[in-house]
Amino acid sequence: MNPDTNKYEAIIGLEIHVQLNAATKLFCDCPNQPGDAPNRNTCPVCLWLPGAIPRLSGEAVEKAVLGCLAANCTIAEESAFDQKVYYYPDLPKGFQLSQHHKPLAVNGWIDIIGENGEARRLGIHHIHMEEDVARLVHETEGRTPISLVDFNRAGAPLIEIVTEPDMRSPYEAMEFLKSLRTRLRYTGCTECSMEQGTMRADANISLRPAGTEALNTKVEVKNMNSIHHVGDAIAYEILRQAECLERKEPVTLHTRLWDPDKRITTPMREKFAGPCVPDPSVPAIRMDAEWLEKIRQQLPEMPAQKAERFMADYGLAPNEAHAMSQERDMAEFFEAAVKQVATPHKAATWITGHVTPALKERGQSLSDTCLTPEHFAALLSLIDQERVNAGAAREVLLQMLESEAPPEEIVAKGGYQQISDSDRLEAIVDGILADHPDDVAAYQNGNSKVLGFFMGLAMKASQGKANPRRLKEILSKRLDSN
Amino acid sequence: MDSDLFTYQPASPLQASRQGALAGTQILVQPDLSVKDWLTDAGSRALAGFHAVMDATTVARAKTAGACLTGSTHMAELGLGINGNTMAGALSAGYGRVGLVTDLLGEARMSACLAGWYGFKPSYGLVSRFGLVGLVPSMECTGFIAPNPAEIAAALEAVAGPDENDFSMPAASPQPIGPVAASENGANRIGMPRQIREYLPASAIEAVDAALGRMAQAEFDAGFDIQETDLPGFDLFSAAHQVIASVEASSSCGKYDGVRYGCRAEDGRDWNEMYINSRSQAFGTRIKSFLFQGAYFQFENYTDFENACILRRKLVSRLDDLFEATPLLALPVRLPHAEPERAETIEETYTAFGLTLPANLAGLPALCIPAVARDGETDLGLQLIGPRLSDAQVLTAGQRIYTRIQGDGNK
Repeated sequence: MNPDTNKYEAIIGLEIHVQLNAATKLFCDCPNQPGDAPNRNTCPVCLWLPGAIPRLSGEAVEKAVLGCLAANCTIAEESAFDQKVYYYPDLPKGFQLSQHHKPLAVNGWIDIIGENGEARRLGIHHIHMEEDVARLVHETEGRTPISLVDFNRAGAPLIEIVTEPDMRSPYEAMEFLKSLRTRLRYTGCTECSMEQGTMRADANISLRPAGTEALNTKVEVKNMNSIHHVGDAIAYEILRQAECLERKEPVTLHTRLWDPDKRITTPMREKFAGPCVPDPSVPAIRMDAEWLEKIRQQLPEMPAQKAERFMADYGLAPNEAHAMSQERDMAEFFEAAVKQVATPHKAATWITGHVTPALKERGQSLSDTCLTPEHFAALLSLIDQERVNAGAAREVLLQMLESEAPPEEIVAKGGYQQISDSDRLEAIVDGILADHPDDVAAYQNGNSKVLGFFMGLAMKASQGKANPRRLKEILSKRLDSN
Repeated sequence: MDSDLFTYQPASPLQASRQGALAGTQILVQPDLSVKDWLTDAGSRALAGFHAVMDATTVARAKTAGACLTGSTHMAELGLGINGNTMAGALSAGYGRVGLVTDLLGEARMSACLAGWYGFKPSYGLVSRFGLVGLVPSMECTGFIAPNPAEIAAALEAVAGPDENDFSMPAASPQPIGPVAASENGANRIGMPRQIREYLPASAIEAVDAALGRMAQAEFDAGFDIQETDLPGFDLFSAAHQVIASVEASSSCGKYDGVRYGCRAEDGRDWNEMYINSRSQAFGTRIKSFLFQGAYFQFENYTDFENACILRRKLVSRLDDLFEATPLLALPVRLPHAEPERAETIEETYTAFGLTLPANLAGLPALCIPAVARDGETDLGLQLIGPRLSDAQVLTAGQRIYTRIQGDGNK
């Protein structure tokens, strides 16, 4: 069966958990490093031993507020923690501390460009803080299945972003997540990576006949670990629900799991909704206007504004400006390099074409390398001055990632200087032409492709250092005069 | 070890310092207050075998002040009521001078009253709850039993005050308790809510009136000015307390699954059955019915819980208004026919503690004065209750009365 999904409009909302990169857990001083050896980062509070009392971390509140501001939310004057009651081995105290009745922030939004190229503002209902639960590890001991509990993650600080049901397509959901991720990363409050589990998105999806207004029963889909999976899972779920409706089967409220291998969703359980009772031990958070203003001052220029400014100030094309503003460290690197007299367009091209791919291949971020904007700008100047050619510059750039030496020094030491000297280039060209009389004849018979072949050979003979412009001039002159 | 009285008794009394305000004072605790490495089972099989991994703030501060910890005495399961408590008996047998008893319904005051001791529940937030294996976090705090208010004040002074491990305490340091004066000039107005009379038989009313009458007379130093006050809806304190306390207890007990400590059921096909079986074996009937009640409000009737919270705020503000006119309230500790030490059910327990639990609901300091209001053979106990954080005034007034009674005895 292949239902006509155009008959229906999809209503999509997201619930996104983001792990804050605060130094400690939310209610104790244990390091917030869930990846350490199991149960290393624990204490009576996060193990919830009798007699322990939670102590709210000021740093976590600060980072959470930064995240809320980046999502354009209004910070509540008073927010408070509730006990979300449920029993499961990953939560041995029987409730999770979460802000249910009085969330930290409300009424935010994220702007995206929709599929038709028009701007769309997607609403955020609220953002609340909560503690993460322990991690269950399922293994076997001989033939007996066993489950182990790792408390390193128990009590890790999270924010949960709950959107309005404003999205209408998998594309919009994906764009929302990309923009949210970029903005949150900009504030420095989170690494925000779905692949690494520091960002987890659940989707709520319902369908209604196109043109109607009612909100129908929704289905929750979990277990997507990349933004693409979110899009795929929503697309699948829209199709599945459309089939249900076509068969006149009722859609029931429940939770489904996305299976990334089979690319389908399967039912998991009824959607959970336990009680939430105010916690008597964690005092309410009362927002001090002066403190809040201080946090607001820490908020950096956001990527969309930055892209606009890069177009206006540096004459970047829209796609270049977008690429240069996606990650805060790269945007600041770009701008610093440009201030060192690098040509904006050239800097952007080299960052997109060479710096970013090199970092990706090495699994590093800029701060992991020795590359500075000053050295990067100096390298681009060497290219402009024809003291090094593009191919050699790529080699030099790779070395600059690991060396604090200025590019001039790397060029000199490695002998990467461009050969522009006519005598040396002519000698190389003459040697090659003498070795390949047949190809010279082919050129003279009108096969102009041979020019590229000779360029390659000559460049190789110069160990990649020949000034390509001069080389081509000499080669053409020699061939034409032969 | 005298196992009739003690849950845990160290081989030799625990004393960290010989100097300080409590130097040499022997202190008894209950096994719901953490003393590092002591069995801390809070009187429940749910914590069977659990040894505290740290000192409670009160314990650490008492040790620093030179106190000597002599043991922990039996307590009612998780501190709800005093059925099975041996604190008063251990104090009377000379094992300690001051007892620390968690007070969530009036346990410290009631235990004291039954044994003829002074019992005190401090203002909520004055004493850290860190290390207290609690049941009802918003109502309970460490209470004190001692031979007189001055010794209570000394112990309170040593352990009270802000604690970086308990953020629920007020950030601003409350006024120091200070030494309690034996005699202080200036008449204090004491109000007695007339609604209390509805709860008491004629003989008990007579006893209370007689006690207050004597306090009004000049023989009590400058005398107290006794007035009747109005506290309508007195029975609502008990209703609001029960709804809120049962909900908080249900959450507090969520962690008792028998996995890492406590009683663990051997049968059960999966973890869920193991939890259920462990919990059904671990808890006694009274706690079980309390937890059922709390779970009912959590899962089935959240609105009633919210209403109880609204009611609590109203009752607190009604008391605040009352304190504007009379800085102290007086009422008996116990009803003449209730038997708190034998209360089995939740209903019996709440009935027995009906006169003490308002101070818990409202977080107020309350002192039990023994031997001033006797109804026949029964010591009804007289409570003095003051506004939040007026602990020093309450204890000072109590000490004036104590001094006068001692004077009478010497005549």
